[in-house]
Amino acid sequence: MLIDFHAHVQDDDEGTRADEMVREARRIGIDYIGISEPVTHSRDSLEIVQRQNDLVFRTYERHPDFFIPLVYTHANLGQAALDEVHKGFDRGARGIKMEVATVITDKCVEPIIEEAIARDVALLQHSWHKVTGNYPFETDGVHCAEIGRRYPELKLVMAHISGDNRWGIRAIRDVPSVYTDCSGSIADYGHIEYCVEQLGADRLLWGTDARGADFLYTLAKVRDSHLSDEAKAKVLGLNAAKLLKVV
Amino acid sequence: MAVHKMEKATITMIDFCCDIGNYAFREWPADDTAGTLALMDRAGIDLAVVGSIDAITYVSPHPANERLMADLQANDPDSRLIPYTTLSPVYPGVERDMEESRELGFRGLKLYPSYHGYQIDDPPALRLIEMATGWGWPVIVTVRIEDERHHHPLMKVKPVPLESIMWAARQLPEATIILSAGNSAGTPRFLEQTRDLPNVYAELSYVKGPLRALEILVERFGSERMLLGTHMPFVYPGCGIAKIAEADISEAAKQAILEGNAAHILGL
Repeated sequence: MLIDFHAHVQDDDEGTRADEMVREARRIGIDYIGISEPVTHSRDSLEIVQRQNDLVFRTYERHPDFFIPLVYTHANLGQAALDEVHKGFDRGARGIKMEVATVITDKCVEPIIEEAIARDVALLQHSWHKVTGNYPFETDGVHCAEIGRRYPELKLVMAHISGDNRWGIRAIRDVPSVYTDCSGSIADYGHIEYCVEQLGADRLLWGTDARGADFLYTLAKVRDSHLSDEAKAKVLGLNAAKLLKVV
Repeated sequence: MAVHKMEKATITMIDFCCDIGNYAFREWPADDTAGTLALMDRAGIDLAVVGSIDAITYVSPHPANERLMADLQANDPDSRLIPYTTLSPVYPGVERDMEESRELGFRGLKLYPSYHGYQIDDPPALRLIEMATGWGWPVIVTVRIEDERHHHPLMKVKPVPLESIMWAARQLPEATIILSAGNSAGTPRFLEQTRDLPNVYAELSYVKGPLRALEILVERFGSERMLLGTHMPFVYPGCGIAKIAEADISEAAKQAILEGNAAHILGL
């Protein structure tokens, strides 16, 4: 089973981009794609968050047997952020996505975390460690580790192995409840093996970060790795199937 | 599970972005000729154009070229690795280093303007490119080594401005110039603005998206000026290969990008 845990369709009104993504994914052999439509420019209004979620659920409704939606929210919107999460689950969400509106350790995120725990769903948090400097409210791997320690029952997924993968892996390796995904452009030789060596094969999820990234490029970093076939199967789909409750 | 799906028997592969040696800031899986050949065998790569990694961060690069050549001569009996010398045009004695590189058996030039502290469109660099061109040597200009977000905190190196490479190429239209490690946004821009320069190529190691990246590039620019680049040993070679070999493009386009264009440049 091949599941892309982390992608964005950025569809247009006609569904052209969704259809194109499904065609390309099926050509390659991808069975399901977890999608969200975050805003990557810090803090935006509720209307923008709602617009993004409407986009993701329309994409999901267009291809309900293929896309698995995650509802996106800005925790700093307070009760409205939580209401948006509830609405998302009413429309079929199977996880929650957060981006760069709030660092995950901020107090305002606590109700969202508690909601994810109560629903027993994954919380996918964008994460990056940049030597060039993070965005003002951008989460780093060390923040994910802190939340994992505070909420060991939370199914937290630190996205992109926090960018600088060695940093990210080391940040969460002693926090067994935190997962990570290898989505994105980084394909440093050996980092997939190092990740599994340090975290175990059950905590790493394959993702692409499409449309920005190419399916084939991002797939090859796991397929071309020296992992065992059993570990590859977990990373490429079985772990995501459990988190997203794919039967 | 196969490393990649391409039928090895149908197309050979020539990698135009491969380096050998120790990198100052991180460890990588292969730092010598034997290790590089093993990575190539596993990935199904037949030939690779190689330079010295050590030379990238050496203040005076040439000793690293000499060491690379000694390693190649001792450990690459089938000459699968095609050596390019890495030099700084602004370091004293570079012309003699060029001559010595030629005598040693190097067959092209690799330039890293950001790491050696010069502009590719300044006179010293243009003179060195002219010298290489006079010998029939191709010149690789490398934009970056690593994602700028992950550099060592005390050595943040900016990417080479593409405009400077395009300007240099326009001054020397006889030169064969290969853009190396231009990213997903920069490489199409570079190919667009050098459409009228048939000797100007781009290797694709840093083109990592968007979705259907190769289909889009081939639709826009054809396949004549693009080259396989893996960026070994920094990156899993399968990433660079898969996006071409498994793309929804014609077999002829795959052959051109994976082998044919490189063979033409190398005179094979």
